[in-house]
Amino acid sequence: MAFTVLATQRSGSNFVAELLRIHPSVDVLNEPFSQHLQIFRELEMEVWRASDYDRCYFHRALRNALETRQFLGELREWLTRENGYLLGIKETGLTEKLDWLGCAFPTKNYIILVRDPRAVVYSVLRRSLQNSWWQYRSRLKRYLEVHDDENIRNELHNLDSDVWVVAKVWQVRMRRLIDFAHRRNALIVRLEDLVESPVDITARMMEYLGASIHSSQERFLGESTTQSRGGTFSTMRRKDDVVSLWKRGLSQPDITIIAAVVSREAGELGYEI
Amino acid sequence: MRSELADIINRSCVTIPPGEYCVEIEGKSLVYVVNAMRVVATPVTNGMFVEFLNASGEVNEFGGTYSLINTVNINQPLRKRPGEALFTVPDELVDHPVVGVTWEGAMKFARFVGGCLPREIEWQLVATAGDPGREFPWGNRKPSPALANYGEHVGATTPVGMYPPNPWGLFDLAGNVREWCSNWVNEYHHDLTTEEVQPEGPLLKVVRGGGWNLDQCFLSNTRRDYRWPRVGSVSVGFRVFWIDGNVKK
Repeated sequence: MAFTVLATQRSGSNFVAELLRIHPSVDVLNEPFSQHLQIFRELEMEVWRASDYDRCYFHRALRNALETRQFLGELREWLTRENGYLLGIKETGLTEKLDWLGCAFPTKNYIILVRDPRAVVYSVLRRSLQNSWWQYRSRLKRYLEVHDDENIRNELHNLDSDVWVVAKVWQVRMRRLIDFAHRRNALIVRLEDLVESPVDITARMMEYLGASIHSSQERFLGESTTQSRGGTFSTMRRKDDVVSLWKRGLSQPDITIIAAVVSREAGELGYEI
Repeated sequence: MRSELADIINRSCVTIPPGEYCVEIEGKSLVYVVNAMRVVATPVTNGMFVEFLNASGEVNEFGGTYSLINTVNINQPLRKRPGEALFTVPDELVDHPVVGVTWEGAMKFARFVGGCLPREIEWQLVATAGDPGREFPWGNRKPSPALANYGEHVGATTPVGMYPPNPWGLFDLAGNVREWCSNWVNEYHHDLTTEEVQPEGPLLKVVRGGGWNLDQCFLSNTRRDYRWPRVGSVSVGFRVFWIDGNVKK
């Protein structure tokens, strides 16, 4: 039975994908769109709607990308073939294409992983990922410029602020994730809850996927949250670093900017900002 | 160039002692007879794979994706510099195991040098050095960062051959990179003399041995792991085998 894990960047999605993959009957493909197909890197934050799904080409933008379409066809077969395994994909860069994704790659279950936006913003900024990896500013500028809402277009003057840019990317993506979660009856998991009550929340995720928590997952949970180690995309982070590191790294003016941008979506997810 | 690469690889080969070995997979005891088997002592390195890409003329990138090695992931160290025709790898990563290789990429490399990928029964036989009671390549001691590169203790691949070998002199069988095997996940017990066909079941090829970013549970000689063969991942590499006339009883 296929599933999809969706998250914003820097929300612990590698940790969750690894946690799921440790189960002997589960495999999770890491970012099969944005880490394996050039077009999804180039068109990140470009909106693809459900109505853009094309049965022949997946999307008209892929009309001349024969090999990309072949890859997607094989991916769909891999994902949806009934085979006794729980197979899933994990994506963090496809938020503006969720409804297209739901048509082109329908899965039975969706797990939406979320994290306190202040922690997300801090995690992006401390490694300057907004520039080096994800080019948030230019992508957000393009996204806002073509937006229908004049109020949103009027926000363009904030693009000089790194904090605002990262918070705004989180906000526009989280709005889409929350709306998608409601339409698809998805399971929303807060990273903070997962590290506070790892076994209970993992058991809930596995139950949602139609399986039971495995002993190797429990052991991994015991180890993975006791010590931070590894590189930028490590799955090993101390619980306190996940929950509280941002409090020591963000200034009060930064927090004020973030709160102004994200308060609605954060509130819907139970974060008091 | 093909023969030079084959020579380099041949020089680091280990010959597996001929004989009858027991291998246990998913609780099934299988007997495997080695007539002639050689194995490269380490996983294939970035340096070797660059040589292969440049010598073979294989086209990797087309139509917005890749076929042999994942060069869409910007973390991948193997690159063509703008305007250049040949792949390069930074000097400091030449001796690291190649990662991001698809199953097809691994197969093509192995065939290029005259070898093959192992079936998982062969991989496991080699990892255990012929003793099915050996839990890890180094023995039955609990994994630790001194014995293998796993669990983000290092946070990246390490040069091949840094950790203790198994009794047959093979390095990095546990940790650093997982290694592609030739068989589909539900075909481990099949007759070794038959050609493998794509199964009706899951589209999953076996990988073995755990990796630098993976939990210690994947280090065990018996732990089965699997991947969609179409993609190259940051902790999946491979090792070349030469196998002649072996049979499973």
